[in-house]
Amino acid sequence: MPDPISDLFSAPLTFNWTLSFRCNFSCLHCYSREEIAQELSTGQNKQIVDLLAQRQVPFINFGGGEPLIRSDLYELASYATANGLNVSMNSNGWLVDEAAAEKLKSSGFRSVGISLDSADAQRHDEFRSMPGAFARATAALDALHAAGIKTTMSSVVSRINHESFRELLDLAEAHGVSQVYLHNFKCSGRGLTTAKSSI
Amino acid sequence: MKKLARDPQIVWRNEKRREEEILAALERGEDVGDRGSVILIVGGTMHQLNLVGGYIWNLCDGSRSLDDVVETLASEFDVHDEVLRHDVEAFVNDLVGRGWLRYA
Repeated sequence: MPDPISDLFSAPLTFNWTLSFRCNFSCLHCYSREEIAQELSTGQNKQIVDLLAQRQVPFINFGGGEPLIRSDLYELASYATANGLNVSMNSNGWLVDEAAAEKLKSSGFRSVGISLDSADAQRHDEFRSMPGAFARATAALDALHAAGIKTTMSSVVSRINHESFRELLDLAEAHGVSQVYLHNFKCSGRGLTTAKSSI
Repeated sequence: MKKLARDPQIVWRNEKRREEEILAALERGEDVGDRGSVILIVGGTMHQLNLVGGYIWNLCDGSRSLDDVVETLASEFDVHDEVLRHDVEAFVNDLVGRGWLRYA
Protein backbone atom coordinates (compact mmCIF):
# COMPACT_ATOMS: atom_id res chain seq x y z
CA MET A 1 0.00 0.00 0.00
CA PRO A 2 1.50 3.36 -0.99
CA ASP A 3 2.71 5.50 1.88
CA PRO A 4 2.19 9.21 1.14
CA ILE A 5 5.00 10.16 3.50
CA SER A 6 7.77 7.86 2.31
CA ASP A 7 6.72 7.42 -1.33
CA LEU A 8 8.32 10.61 -2.47
CA PHE A 9 11.58 10.16 -0.63
CA SER A 10 14.45 10.24 -3.09
CA ALA A 11 16.34 7.55 -1.17
CA PRO A 12 16.26 5.65 2.12
CA LEU A 13 17.30 7.52 5.25
CA THR A 14 19.27 4.64 6.76
CA PHE A 15 21.25 1.87 5.12
CA ASN A 16 21.37 -1.07 7.55
CA TRP A 17 24.47 -2.87 6.44
CA THR A 18 25.37 -6.46 7.25
CA LEU A 19 29.07 -6.44 6.45
CA SER A 20 29.49 -10.04 7.54
CA PHE A 21 27.50 -12.89 9.04
CA ARG A 22 30.60 -13.85 11.07
CA CYS A 23 30.43 -13.34 14.81
CA ASN A 24 32.47 -14.13 17.90
CA PHE A 25 29.23 -15.03 19.70
CA SER A 26 26.72 -17.78 19.06
CA CYS A 27 23.53 -16.36 20.54
CA LEU A 28 20.47 -18.59 20.78
CA HIS A 29 18.14 -16.00 19.30
CA CYS A 30 20.33 -14.54 16.53
CA TYR A 31 18.49 -13.72 13.31
CA SER A 32 21.70 -13.89 11.33
CA ARG A 33 22.44 -16.93 9.16
CA GLU A 34 24.99 -19.50 10.07
CA GLU A 35 26.11 -20.31 6.56
CA ILE A 36 29.46 -19.15 5.26
CA ALA A 37 28.93 -16.36 2.78
CA GLN A 38 31.34 -14.67 0.45
CA GLU A 39 32.00 -11.12 1.63
CA LEU A 40 32.66 -8.04 -0.41
CA SER A 41 36.15 -6.59 -0.46
CA THR A 42 37.02 -3.24 1.07
CA GLY A 43 37.12 -1.71 -2.40
CA GLN A 44 33.70 -3.08 -3.27
CA ASN A 45 32.29 -1.80 0.00
CA LYS A 46 33.72 1.64 -0.72
CA GLN A 47 31.91 1.57 -4.06
CA ILE A 48 28.69 1.02 -2.13
CA VAL A 49 29.54 4.02 0.06
CA ASP A 50 30.07 6.07 -3.11
CA LEU A 51 26.62 5.06 -4.31
CA LEU A 52 25.02 5.91 -0.96
CA ALA A 53 26.73 9.30 -0.92
CA GLN A 54 25.62 9.96 -4.47
CA ARG A 55 22.02 9.10 -3.54
CA GLN A 56 22.28 11.26 -0.40
CA VAL A 57 21.49 8.45 2.01
CA PRO A 58 22.42 10.17 5.28
CA PHE A 59 22.91 7.25 7.68
CA ILE A 60 24.75 3.93 7.64
CA ASN A 61 24.20 1.50 10.50
CA PHE A 62 26.63 -1.41 10.50
CA GLY A 63 25.34 -4.70 11.83
CA GLY A 64 25.93 -8.34 11.23
CA GLY A 65 27.26 -10.64 12.47
CA GLU A 66 29.61 -8.62 14.58
CA PRO A 67 30.80 -5.55 12.62
CA LEU A 68 34.14 -5.41 14.44
CA ILE A 69 35.01 -8.85 13.04
CA ARG A 70 35.74 -7.00 9.81
CA SER A 71 39.24 -5.59 10.16
CA ASP A 72 38.43 -2.86 7.62
CA LEU A 73 35.46 -1.50 9.60
CA TYR A 74 37.39 1.57 10.74
CA GLU A 75 38.65 2.26 7.23
CA LEU A 76 35.19 1.90 5.77
CA ALA A 77 33.63 4.11 8.44
CA SER A 78 36.27 6.79 7.91
CA TYR A 79 35.63 6.66 4.17
CA ALA A 80 31.88 6.99 4.68
CA THR A 81 32.32 9.87 7.11
CA ALA A 82 34.65 11.67 4.71
CA ASN A 83 31.92 11.33 2.08
CA GLY A 84 29.37 13.04 4.30
CA LEU A 85 27.58 10.02 5.75
CA ASN A 86 26.82 9.47 9.42
CA VAL A 87 27.88 6.08 10.72
CA SER A 88 26.71 4.00 13.65
CA MET A 89 26.78 0.31 14.47
CA ASN A 90 25.36 -2.42 16.65
CA SER A 91 27.82 -4.65 18.49
CA ASN A 92 27.89 -7.23 21.26
CA GLY A 93 30.62 -5.08 22.84
CA TRP A 94 33.14 -7.88 23.35
CA LEU A 95 35.80 -6.22 21.18
CA VAL A 96 35.17 -2.65 22.37
CA ASP A 97 37.85 -1.69 24.88
CA GLU A 98 39.22 1.83 25.47
CA ALA A 99 41.54 1.65 22.45
CA ALA A 100 38.78 0.42 20.15
CA ALA A 101 36.43 3.12 21.43
CA GLU A 102 39.00 5.78 20.57
CA LYS A 103 39.42 4.29 17.08
CA LEU A 104 35.66 4.25 16.60
CA LYS A 105 35.55 7.89 17.62
CA SER A 106 38.31 8.88 15.23
CA SER A 107 36.63 6.88 12.44
CA GLY A 108 33.59 9.09 12.78
CA PHE A 109 31.13 6.87 14.62
CA ARG A 110 28.42 9.09 16.08
CA SER A 111 26.59 6.36 17.90
CA VAL A 112 27.21 2.74 18.90
CA GLY A 113 24.55 0.35 20.11
CA ILE A 114 25.47 -2.48 22.49
CA SER A 115 23.29 -5.56 22.86
CA LEU A 116 22.26 -6.33 26.42
CA ASP A 117 19.35 -8.68 26.98
CA SER A 118 19.22 -8.73 30.75
CA ALA A 119 20.40 -6.65 33.67
CA ASP A 120 21.32 -9.95 35.33
CA ALA A 121 24.87 -10.85 34.24
CA GLN A 122 24.39 -14.61 34.46
CA ARG A 123 21.16 -14.56 32.46
CA HIS A 124 22.69 -12.41 29.75
CA ASP A 125 25.79 -14.62 29.51
CA GLU A 126 23.70 -17.80 29.28
CA PHE A 127 21.39 -16.28 26.68
CA ARG A 128 24.40 -15.23 24.64
CA SER A 129 26.23 -18.53 25.27
CA MET A 130 29.29 -16.52 26.25
CA PRO A 131 30.63 -16.31 29.81
CA GLY A 132 31.76 -12.77 30.59
CA ALA A 133 29.60 -11.20 27.87
CA PHE A 134 27.73 -8.98 30.31
CA ALA A 135 30.91 -7.61 31.89
CA ARG A 136 32.45 -6.90 28.49
CA ALA A 137 29.25 -5.28 27.20
CA THR A 138 28.91 -2.91 30.15
CA ALA A 139 32.65 -2.14 29.97
CA ALA A 140 32.13 -1.32 26.28
CA LEU A 141 29.35 1.13 27.16
CA ASP A 142 31.67 2.85 29.64
CA ALA A 143 34.58 2.98 27.18
CA LEU A 144 32.38 4.43 24.45
CA HIS A 145 30.93 6.97 26.86
CA ALA A 146 34.43 7.98 27.94
CA ALA A 147 35.45 8.38 24.30
CA GLY A 148 32.53 10.74 23.71
CA ILE A 149 30.43 8.45 21.54
CA LYS A 150 26.69 8.39 22.08
CA THR A 151 25.57 4.93 23.18
CA THR A 152 22.33 3.04 22.80
CA MET A 153 21.29 -0.33 24.18
CA SER A 154 19.43 -3.04 22.27
CA SER A 155 17.48 -5.84 23.90
CA VAL A 156 15.49 -8.61 22.28
CA VAL A 157 12.23 -9.08 24.17
CA SER A 158 12.31 -12.63 25.51
CA ARG A 159 11.55 -14.90 28.46
CA ILE A 160 14.59 -13.60 30.35
CA ASN A 161 13.61 -9.94 30.37
CA HIS A 162 9.91 -9.47 29.71
CA GLU A 163 9.23 -8.97 33.40
CA SER A 164 12.27 -6.85 34.16
CA PHE A 165 12.37 -3.93 31.76
CA ARG A 166 12.77 -1.50 34.66
CA GLU A 167 16.06 -3.18 35.58
CA LEU A 168 17.21 -2.88 31.97
CA LEU A 169 16.41 0.85 31.99
CA ASP A 170 18.24 1.30 35.29
CA LEU A 171 21.26 -0.49 33.85
CA ALA A 172 21.19 1.78 30.79
CA GLU A 173 20.96 4.89 32.93
CA ALA A 174 23.85 3.74 35.12
CA HIS A 175 26.09 3.47 32.06
CA GLY A 176 25.10 6.76 30.39
CA VAL A 177 23.06 5.16 27.61
CA SER A 178 20.93 7.69 25.74
CA GLN A 179 18.33 5.35 24.23
CA VAL A 180 17.11 1.81 24.77
CA TYR A 181 15.65 -0.17 21.90
CA LEU A 182 13.46 -3.20 22.50
CA HIS A 183 13.45 -5.54 19.52
CA ASN A 184 11.11 -8.34 18.64
CA PHE A 185 12.53 -11.82 18.18
CA LYS A 186 13.07 -12.42 14.48
CA CYS A 187 12.15 -15.85 13.20
CA SER A 188 15.14 -16.34 10.97
CA GLY A 189 18.68 -17.61 11.05
CA ARG A 190 19.76 -19.50 14.15
CA GLY A 191 16.82 -18.05 16.03
CA LEU A 192 14.46 -20.02 13.81
CA THR A 193 16.37 -23.23 13.37
CA THR A 194 17.74 -23.90 16.82
CA ALA A 195 16.14 -21.83 19.49
CA LYS A 196 12.61 -20.77 18.63
CA SER A 197 11.10 -22.82 21.43
CA SER A 198 13.44 -21.45 24.09
CA ILE A 199 13.10 -17.75 23.39
CA MET B 1 26.10 41.89 9.63
CA LYS B 2 26.09 38.39 11.06
CA LYS B 3 25.55 35.49 8.70
CA LEU B 4 22.95 32.77 9.13
CA ALA B 5 24.32 29.24 9.41
CA ARG B 6 22.74 25.84 9.89
CA ASP B 7 23.68 23.69 12.87
CA PRO B 8 26.24 21.33 11.30
CA GLN B 9 25.02 18.50 13.54
CA ILE B 10 21.65 18.49 11.79
CA VAL B 11 21.34 15.95 9.00
CA TRP B 12 19.15 17.18 6.16
CA ARG B 13 18.31 16.52 2.55
CA ASN B 14 16.53 18.26 -0.31
CA GLU B 15 13.78 16.03 -1.67
CA LYS B 16 13.82 16.89 -5.37
CA ARG B 17 10.91 14.66 -6.35
CA ARG B 18 8.79 16.18 -3.62
CA GLU B 19 9.78 19.66 -4.72
CA GLU B 20 8.74 18.87 -8.29
CA GLU B 21 5.39 17.54 -7.06
CA ILE B 22 4.84 20.64 -4.95
CA LEU B 23 5.70 22.99 -7.80
CA ALA B 24 3.27 21.11 -10.04
CA ALA B 25 0.55 21.36 -7.37
CA LEU B 26 1.29 25.07 -7.04
CA GLU B 27 0.76 25.45 -10.77
CA ARG B 28 -2.65 23.81 -10.33
CA GLY B 29 -3.50 26.38 -7.68
CA GLU B 30 -3.43 23.94 -4.75
CA ASP B 31 -2.45 24.93 -1.22
CA VAL B 32 1.02 23.50 -0.65
CA GLY B 33 1.82 25.22 2.64
CA ASP B 34 2.02 22.01 4.65
CA ARG B 35 3.88 19.90 2.12
CA GLY B 36 7.55 19.37 2.83
CA SER B 37 10.40 19.53 0.34
CA VAL B 38 13.32 19.48 2.77
CA ILE B 39 13.68 16.88 5.51
CA LEU B 40 15.72 17.40 8.67
CA ILE B 41 16.73 14.72 11.17
CA VAL B 42 17.07 16.35 14.57
CA GLY B 43 17.75 14.18 17.61
CA GLY B 44 16.34 11.13 15.89
CA THR B 45 13.13 12.88 14.83
CA MET B 46 12.32 13.77 11.24
CA HIS B 47 10.99 17.24 10.48
CA GLN B 48 9.92 18.74 7.16
CA LEU B 49 10.18 22.25 5.81
CA ASN B 50 7.75 23.44 3.19
CA LEU B 51 8.81 24.92 -0.13
CA VAL B 52 9.60 28.44 1.07
CA GLY B 53 11.02 27.20 4.35
CA GLY B 54 13.24 24.86 2.37
CA TYR B 55 14.48 27.72 0.18
CA ILE B 56 15.36 29.74 3.26
CA TRP B 57 17.08 26.73 4.87
CA ASN B 58 19.20 26.21 1.75
CA LEU B 59 20.20 29.88 1.70
CA CYS B 60 21.41 29.80 5.31
CA ASP B 61 24.81 28.34 4.45
CA GLY B 62 26.87 30.78 6.48
CA SER B 63 27.45 33.19 3.61
CA ARG B 64 24.27 35.28 3.88
CA SER B 65 22.80 37.66 6.43
CA LEU B 66 19.07 37.90 7.08
CA ASP B 67 18.97 40.88 4.69
CA ASP B 68 20.72 38.81 2.02
CA VAL B 69 18.19 36.01 2.41
CA VAL B 70 15.26 38.42 2.16
CA GLU B 71 16.81 40.09 -0.88
CA THR B 72 17.34 36.75 -2.63
CA LEU B 73 13.76 35.66 -1.98
CA ALA B 74 12.39 39.03 -3.05
CA SER B 75 13.76 38.42 -6.51
CA GLU B 76 11.90 35.09 -6.73
CA PHE B 77 8.55 35.79 -5.05
CA ASP B 78 5.99 38.44 -5.90
CA VAL B 79 5.44 39.63 -2.32
CA HIS B 80 5.59 43.08 -0.75
CA ASP B 81 9.05 43.62 0.75
CA GLU B 82 7.82 44.32 4.27
CA VAL B 83 5.55 41.30 4.33
CA LEU B 84 8.37 39.10 3.05
CA ARG B 85 10.84 40.42 5.62
CA HIS B 86 8.31 39.94 8.43
CA ASP B 87 7.62 36.32 7.40
CA VAL B 88 11.26 35.40 6.82
CA GLU B 89 12.33 36.96 10.10
CA ALA B 90 9.62 35.10 12.01
CA PHE B 91 10.64 31.80 10.40
CA VAL B 92 14.33 32.37 11.00
CA ASN B 93 13.72 33.40 14.61
CA ASP B 94 11.76 30.21 15.13
CA LEU B 95 14.63 28.07 13.84
CA VAL B 96 17.21 30.07 15.78
CA GLY B 97 15.11 29.50 18.89
CA ARG B 98 15.16 25.76 18.22
CA GLY B 99 18.93 25.90 17.77
CA TRP B 100 18.71 24.71 14.17
CA LEU B 101 20.06 27.99 12.79
CA ARG B 102 22.53 30.37 14.37
CA TYR B 103 24.02 33.77 13.66
CA ALA B 104 27.75 33.34 13.07
